[in-house]
Amino acid sequence: MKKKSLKYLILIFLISLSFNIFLSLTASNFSGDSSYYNLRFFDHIKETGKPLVYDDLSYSGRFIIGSPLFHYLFALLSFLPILLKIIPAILLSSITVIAYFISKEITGNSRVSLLVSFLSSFIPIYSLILINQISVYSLVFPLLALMMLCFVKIEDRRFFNLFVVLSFLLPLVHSSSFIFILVLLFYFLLMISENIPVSRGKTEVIVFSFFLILLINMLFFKKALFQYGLNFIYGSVPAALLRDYLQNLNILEIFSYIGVLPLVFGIWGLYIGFKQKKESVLIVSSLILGILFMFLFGMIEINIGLLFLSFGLVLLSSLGLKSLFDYLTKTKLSKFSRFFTFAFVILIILLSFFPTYYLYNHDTNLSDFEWMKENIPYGSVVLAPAEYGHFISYYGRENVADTNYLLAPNANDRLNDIDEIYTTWSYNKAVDLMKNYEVNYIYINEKIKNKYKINDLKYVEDGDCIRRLKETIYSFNC
Amino acid sequence: METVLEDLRKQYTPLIVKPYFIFLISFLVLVISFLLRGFVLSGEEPHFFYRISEFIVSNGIPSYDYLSFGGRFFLYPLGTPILLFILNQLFKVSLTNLIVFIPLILGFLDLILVYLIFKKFKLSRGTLSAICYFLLLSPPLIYISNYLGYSTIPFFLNLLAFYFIVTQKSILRLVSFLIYLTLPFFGFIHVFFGMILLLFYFLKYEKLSKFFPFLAIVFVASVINLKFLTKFGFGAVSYPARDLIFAISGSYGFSIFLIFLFIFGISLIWKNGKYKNNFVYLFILINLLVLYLNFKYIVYANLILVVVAAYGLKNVYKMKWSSLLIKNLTIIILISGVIFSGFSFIHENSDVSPTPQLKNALEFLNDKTNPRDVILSHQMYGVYINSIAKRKNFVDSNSAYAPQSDTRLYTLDKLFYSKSLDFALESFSEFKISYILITPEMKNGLVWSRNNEGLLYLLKNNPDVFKMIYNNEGVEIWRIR
Repeated sequence: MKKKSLKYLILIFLISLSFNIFLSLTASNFSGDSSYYNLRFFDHIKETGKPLVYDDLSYSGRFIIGSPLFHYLFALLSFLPILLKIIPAILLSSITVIAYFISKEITGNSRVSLLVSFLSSFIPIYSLILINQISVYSLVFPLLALMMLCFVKIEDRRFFNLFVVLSFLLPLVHSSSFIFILVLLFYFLLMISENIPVSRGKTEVIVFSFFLILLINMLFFKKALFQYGLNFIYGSVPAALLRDYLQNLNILEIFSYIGVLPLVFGIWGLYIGFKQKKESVLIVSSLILGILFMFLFGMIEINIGLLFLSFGLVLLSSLGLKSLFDYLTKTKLSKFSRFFTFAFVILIILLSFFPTYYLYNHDTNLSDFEWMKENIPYGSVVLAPAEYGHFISYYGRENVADTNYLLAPNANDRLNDIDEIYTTWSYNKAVDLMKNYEVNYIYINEKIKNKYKINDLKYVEDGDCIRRLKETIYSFNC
Repeated sequence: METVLEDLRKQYTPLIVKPYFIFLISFLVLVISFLLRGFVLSGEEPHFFYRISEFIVSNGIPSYDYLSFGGRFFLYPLGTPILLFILNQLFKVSLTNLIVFIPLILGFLDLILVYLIFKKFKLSRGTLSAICYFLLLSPPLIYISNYLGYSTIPFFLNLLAFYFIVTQKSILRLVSFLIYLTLPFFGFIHVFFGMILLLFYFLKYEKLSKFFPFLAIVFVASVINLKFLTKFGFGAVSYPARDLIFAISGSYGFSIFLIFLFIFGISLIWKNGKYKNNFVYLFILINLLVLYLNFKYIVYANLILVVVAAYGLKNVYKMKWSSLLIKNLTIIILISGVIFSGFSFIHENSDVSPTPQLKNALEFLNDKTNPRDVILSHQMYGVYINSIAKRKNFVDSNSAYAPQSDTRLYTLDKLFYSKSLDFALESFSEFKISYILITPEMKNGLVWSRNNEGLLYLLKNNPDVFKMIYNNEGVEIWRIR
């Protein structure tokens, strides 16, 4: 690697890191509800040394399963709380380095790879699920990207060894290691369909990692497999949630999460890549195909899918960019090559950096939940949409539903019933449903009102069971 | 690491392929469940056979079963209960002890027979031991060695008879013929496997003409079963495909890692002989087809699976790998997967069924209810209602040849989830249901997930119609007034 490229790469990494750390440290709270679920998990590990197996506050009591490595690792970090802000930022910024090396492998062009690396630092979807969040995907995302890099460079002994180690680590971190199995399967299929021989070494590591990931997941998710069968993979996404996504599906919104540049150059790159039948391109294409396959069968949450999809498109953008620069060198504009590079950097700032910044939720307001902690008895059941569930349980109150759907009792019915309680006109129906879940309090803020397109609960005045405690909280006593 | 693994392999391979070591391990693995659960009568099928054999001991062979599905024709394979009756009369061993110990003894003998049979085919010691270990760790074999089921005895008889055939001694072949003659009493699938195995054996290793005398067995099987074949059909019961794989269901399906090894095995067979092995492909295909029609055939399909899987492991081992480390790790993972499936199945089946709480409730039903009363519960408790409470069930797991089984299962489903009191009362009256048995498992996902779903709502809100007469640690009995 040239020194100049290395300098630029370090600079890109530092810019990305500064951006992520700035956003994390300037916020008083973590973003995202899952951060609070994880914080509670870490506290439990610190207190008992054991993972949380039964959560009596989630879904008013339910079993929890999952791979333990992420929680143990971050529980250790949580002894110094600032690390919970810094380490995820470093992990996210490491994507720039991985993206550089993969696109270098795809294009062999340092300038293009540096641009792709810069592009990978600001993908708007990061703001929704990674920045200033304690999310398992902070670890899964770079690990999966690193595995892809190792797979591309598997002939190199160092990358081969790293791949073997990562094959053990990834399934220990999260069940989304199944994504990697799908990537490998699609890679295999694409190679066969394109008549490109798969090297012996690659076949071997595919077989090895396939069985290893399968075995480790079976060890950790045995119970979920027995309960859901193969539905386990998509059983974690309730039908009600998928329906909501599909009903509110806004293609423009999805594009804005991925970013204009990765979308345009990525699709162009995909087209070029298939024409060139390049092996490294097929690996990245397999990632995109794998994610689309999971979307199609509802096996993955939309935002998580978009995260991996956008990464795939960013990598493929390298081919689109290279083709653009190659074209420019053939024209009279070739002498303005530096200008075009600079222009692309400006485009990244305009079309990726700013959207990422503005999409980020700068302030997660938890004052209502803090109020609950002070004024509501411990263990009371608070009704709120699933996306507020972890906030409620973090402050010691029971939720009716949260976003941890795997093995959740009746997740689909609960989501439907919560929607019904917020939207119904019928007082009796709402009371019946709330009695079912032994609800004591109802939470309703402006976002919830906007979500359900209501001004308030429509039946509040129809009976004596529901009483307003505060602008956003009702008590239910019947 | 590679050298260490190779050293370990060289050191321990001679030991683990030794027959006495295989048999010792086999016995230890098979006995684990018994040590965890105790040597007690447990499971649906053993309780079913206990009831039928007990009835035969006291009253002879009946023509009508008054208890299952509220009453039905006695169309069960009689081989197992009659054998239990004979052993009971001959050796004066209690039926309970026979039902508890026979699976363990026969399971162990199954493994010895499999070893002896494949030894006759001059397989390498490695492949031979892999077959035995894979079979030992496969959920179907563990199941039939733990519970006296429909296949426990006929599977053993099939292996024994086939072993006598492969010994190629005339006197033993005569004995095997007699054994095969008993198979029709255990059901079609057992005869089918025996005959198809013999047919392929004689075609491949001897002369087809030697198979002809065995056609008499097919004839006997047809005659014995003709009456209810023509009257009631084949009695095939559909089952969810996920039941075929143990990892994604709780049933005694195939180990998922054995399935992958099976695929490697098939690829080896294809590589070695291509179209020369059409016989093998046909044999496998026919067996898969029968498995599709009848889940109980899984015990035989599993035997084929483990044999091909053992070749699969050999294939993986003999393949040229560019990295010895990856090769060794992959083999370790595959073997660990097979071991994990086996022990996971043992763990899942280590509890006594029915639980002491359920047993007490069933005994309560036996004490306090009328013999004509029909008890409504989930179908997995039907056999226990018959055998422990000695009362009629509404439905049970033996739905083949049961009267109106589809209607009853549909009604049961509607009864469980409907909140219509009129419909419930109408159904109770139509099927003469007097009591409802509810277990904690039914309330926690087996049927309901919430306290006031369907029938639970009706029970709670209609005290003038339903009265709870028993409640012990979540097991409830409700009387319909």
